[in-house]
Amino acid sequence: MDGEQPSTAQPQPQSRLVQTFACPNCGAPVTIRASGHTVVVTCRGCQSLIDVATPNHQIVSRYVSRRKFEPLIPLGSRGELFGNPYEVIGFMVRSDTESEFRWQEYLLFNPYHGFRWLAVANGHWNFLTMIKEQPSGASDGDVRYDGKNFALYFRGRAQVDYVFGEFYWRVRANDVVKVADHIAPPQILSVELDQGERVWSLGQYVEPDVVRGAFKVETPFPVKVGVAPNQPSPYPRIGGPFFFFVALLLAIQVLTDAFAGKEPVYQSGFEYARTAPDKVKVTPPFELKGRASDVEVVSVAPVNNHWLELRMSLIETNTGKTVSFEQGVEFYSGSDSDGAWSEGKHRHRILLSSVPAGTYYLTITPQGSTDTSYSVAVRRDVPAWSNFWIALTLLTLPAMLVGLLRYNFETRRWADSEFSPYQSSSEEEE
Amino acid sequence: MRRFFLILGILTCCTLAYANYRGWVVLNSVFPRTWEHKEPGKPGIFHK
Repeated sequence: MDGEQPSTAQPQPQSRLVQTFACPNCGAPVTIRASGHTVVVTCRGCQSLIDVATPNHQIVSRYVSRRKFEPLIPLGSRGELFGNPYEVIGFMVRSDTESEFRWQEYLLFNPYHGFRWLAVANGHWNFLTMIKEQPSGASDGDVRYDGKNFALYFRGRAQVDYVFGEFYWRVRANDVVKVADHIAPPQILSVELDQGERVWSLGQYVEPDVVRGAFKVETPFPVKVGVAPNQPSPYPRIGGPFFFFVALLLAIQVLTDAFAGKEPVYQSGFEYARTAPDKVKVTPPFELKGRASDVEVVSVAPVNNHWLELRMSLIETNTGKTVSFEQGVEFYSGSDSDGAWSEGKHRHRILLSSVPAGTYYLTITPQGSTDTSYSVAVRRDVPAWSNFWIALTLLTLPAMLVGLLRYNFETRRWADSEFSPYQSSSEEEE
Repeated sequence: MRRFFLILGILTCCTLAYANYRGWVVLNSVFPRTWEHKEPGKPGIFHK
């Protein structure tokens, strides 16, 4: 893609742009679609490369490729891409001199907008426009252009394997230029260095169906293989929104905690005797005020190597609505060959969810393995941090999933690059 | 997908705020659906 792009392509009638002449080698008719811009053109009959910039149309080479490549978009096809109509006038196959990785490039022409390129590799398409501004930064490292950072993805030498059609510079098979690709998906910045001249092109990833539809190509395009260097990731960055929502959740919980009433409404101590005839305790009525909120019931018993189970009911005095629950207190301790041990707690806490305002009392039916004292405390509107942890988990799991999928996609994108930021140090040493 | 996550984040925050306001507790709690109806005016009657 080196050479000069006509910077001020003046509007010209189509008839003045199209010229036909006889091939000086085989006599077959040769058509030029971008007359005035085209420098070389290949003869469809003998594949000779003809220099049309000279008055007598000299033959540059009588090169006949041993391997003929068929363009996916026939030359002469017209289609509209990014709002402008273009005609395919040139076709070129190039390869990396080291890996022999091969790709195709199509030269597009519009008399009002000049030249553009369509490049396809591994079934992935790019629409490229030459740019006059030089991106800042070294071409052999990351560069900045249009406010974006483009990461170096590839550096090597590209060889022309096959040319067909017309071109605006003296291209010929086996030409080799230094190339480098820098990516900021969905864009790519390609630079070619030939005889001291740097030519930059800005590419935009295009879905194959868009190209196929634009040029009305009936034959299917090759399927996409792998991830293209500048293919947009289907998994967006959500780190920003994630941390914003985590901060919001935390703020909500902290505010809830700060403004919670945590109002003690009842507290009392009792004695449990296994031989007592009536073990059921009934508390005096107590008021739960305000909007519906949770109620915390905490039981404490100083048991040691024993247990105490409390079956409770919270009963609304007027309606008789009741919620029943159990609280178990058990504590065991001792020592063995590993030293002292203990398990269980002297305290049990339970939260009753969304209890409406009203006058309530508790019935307590204790059952235990020993006689003991115990206490019961009731508080109203106690913040439950478990809600926060559940909300955080609900938010974190999808974020982690998207992050893992995005990481996987990015590692596949950079798999073929020697400049991958995902390479481990051991891989780099190799 | 970004939009889905934004919607999920908004819904999660709203749900937490509303649950806290209503006094809903998910873990280590007893839910209102376990409420039973007892005969009013008879304190001390306990049915398991």
